[in-house]
Amino acid sequence: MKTKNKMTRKEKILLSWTIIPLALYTLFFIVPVAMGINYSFTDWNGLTQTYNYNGIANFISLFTSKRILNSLAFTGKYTFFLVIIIMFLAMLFTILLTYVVSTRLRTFFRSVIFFPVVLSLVTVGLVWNQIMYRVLPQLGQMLGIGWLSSNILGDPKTAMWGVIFVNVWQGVAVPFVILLAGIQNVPTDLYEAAKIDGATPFKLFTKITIPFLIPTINVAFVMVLKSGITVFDYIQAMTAGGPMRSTESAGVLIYELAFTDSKAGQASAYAFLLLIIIALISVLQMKVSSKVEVGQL
Amino acid sequence: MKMKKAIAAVLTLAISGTLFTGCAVTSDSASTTSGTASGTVSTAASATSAATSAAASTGDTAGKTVIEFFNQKTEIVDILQNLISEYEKENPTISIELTTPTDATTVLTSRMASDDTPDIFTQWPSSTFFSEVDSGYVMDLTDTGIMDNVSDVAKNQWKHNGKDYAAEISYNCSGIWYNKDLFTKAGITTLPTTWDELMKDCETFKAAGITPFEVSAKETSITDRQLQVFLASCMGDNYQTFEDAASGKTMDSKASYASSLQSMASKMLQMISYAQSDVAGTDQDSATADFASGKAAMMIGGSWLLASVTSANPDINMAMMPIPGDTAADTNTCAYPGDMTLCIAAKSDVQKEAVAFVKWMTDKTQATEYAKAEGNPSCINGVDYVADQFKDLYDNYVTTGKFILNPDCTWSSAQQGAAGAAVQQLYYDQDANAFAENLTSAFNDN
Repeated sequence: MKTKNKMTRKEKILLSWTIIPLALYTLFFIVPVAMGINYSFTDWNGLTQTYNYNGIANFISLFTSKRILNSLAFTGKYTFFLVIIIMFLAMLFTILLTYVVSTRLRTFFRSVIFFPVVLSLVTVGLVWNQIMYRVLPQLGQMLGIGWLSSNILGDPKTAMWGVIFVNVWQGVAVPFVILLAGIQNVPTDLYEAAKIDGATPFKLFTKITIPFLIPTINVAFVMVLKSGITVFDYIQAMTAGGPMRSTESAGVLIYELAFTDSKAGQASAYAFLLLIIIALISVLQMKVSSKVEVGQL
Repeated sequence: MKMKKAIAAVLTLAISGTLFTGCAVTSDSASTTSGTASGTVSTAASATSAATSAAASTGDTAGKTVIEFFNQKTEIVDILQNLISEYEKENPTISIELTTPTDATTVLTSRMASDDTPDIFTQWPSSTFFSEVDSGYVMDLTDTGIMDNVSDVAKNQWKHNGKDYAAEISYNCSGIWYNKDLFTKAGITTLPTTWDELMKDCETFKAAGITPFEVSAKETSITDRQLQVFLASCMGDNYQTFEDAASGKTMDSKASYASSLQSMASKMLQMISYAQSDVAGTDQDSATADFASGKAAMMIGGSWLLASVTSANPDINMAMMPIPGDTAADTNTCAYPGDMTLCIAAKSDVQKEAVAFVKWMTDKTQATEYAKAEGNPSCINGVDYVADQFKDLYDNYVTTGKFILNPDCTWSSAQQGAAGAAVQQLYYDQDANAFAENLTSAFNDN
């Protein structure tokens, strides 16, 4: 038994290679998360060397502060629409580029859809801010569209849609590429067999393509969901949470609480809550979708 | 086999080495960050030169005492770099590394919290600054000799527990920036001295096809600034009661100052009725660019906008006036001794050298050079230079004491943001009556 449990030299070498990544992961992820959880039970203002433990006061304040509840509601709404729009468009582009667009044009369209990803967010923010301030209102006035006749980022009713538009423009590419790779892995002989059995294109898609794509859709879905729940950069670059705090997402508010409002303890509690929400939704989504994979539809 | 082992060892070392890439050049990389610091059009040029100049200054530091100078004001990087070069020439054993990172305030706060306060840093004295002092991050400058250079008006404003922690170099004045050429073009020969006269002038501008006001309301930090200037001019005798209640979180929307707030809100709405369309969607960079190109005759703002406007249009003929009160006697302006303020870290290893440099910076000669390059009125004794754009405002209001300190100096950052959002709400709802209520919540809930 002893000899069986003894690690071989090769295993020892392989294990030794995990030490550095493990140390880095601990140092840059586990330790900060643990520190964050610790701070969430304190009144730390983000500046002082000392702080006092205040129990669950920060967690209680999460459910009594109107500003925090508004930001949670906004984040939920933003994520809901972001996921629906991105997943729909990514699937649509995947289908079009696989079944409709001619092979010669595929590379061109792939590049067009993927291009926004290579731009830095500062550039994207600056360019779209100017387009929404100077170009779109002119267009709105020409076409007589009231809500488009002024900067949509300046109106609390439309600002979220302006940010979602830019987020989708840049964010659809990666889920699209993942789905495209997934769809190309569906075995072609299944299609051929089904065609012989008289399956319509719609049946082919719903009974073969979709079930094979479920694991891929899962990955893309969780990715977009997470980016929606933790959205910070797009909002910071375009509205900074305004106007009138109408686009203040959970991520933006955590940053504001920690670095502007000197409420680092409360910010940590909010971040911890967000972590739990993401974990719960991810687990739920995985459980639900694992039931409908290949052979179960 | 030996060869294989050697190759494996070399590769292991190489891979391990990459883990430490970037660890040894903290100051350089931090400075270089300022090259991409500004996400804004107006400050892009100066930020780029910040990176270049900082890199130049960090060239050869062997055998020299290195002082880190952490700057939060992106628009003055070139001016500081010139002064630093002069100082380094006079003091060949000193090397000053200028750092101007992105989101400098957040970086400075984080560095203080991790006990890594830069040797010298710029700061804006306020209630937040006093927290930094109370936390033990800032050196007491009282007996260093530095404060002998600073005027009593400026330094007395920011004493904390009877001690000096900040060396104020320049004022920031706030009011109405006006384009003199557009006033002449519309046939307006004298500046308005009352609010009613200002409104009449707005009508004259409209008749002449000129947009009277350029107003930006997209950022809460800017609408908060507009609020400062209006509070200075519109609250009259109620100002101090309001300010005490606001900073003490005991504001009451039914108190006597509420009616002053309401009439102030009406004036703010009058102003935006004479502004360009889409006030809510206009950010400060766009407003500055439009004002600089002569699209509007007036813009509310502080003296910090001078550099941005003149860099967009060096030929603009502009100056600053206060927001007129109901009568000329009521007119007040907003001034803030501390727009450029230098502080020293309490735990700096090079405190002696840092004190010498700050003393040199606050000397009459350097302060004059700074005032001429930057434009703001100086807080330093013996500096007579005042830029033409501020001369009237400075002579008639600042030196005569007809100014109040920016009201938000005593507000917390959370209150400032909430007050800015309340102003956005006012512009959006156009409801002056609801403003006092919203402002009350802004202060009491934060």
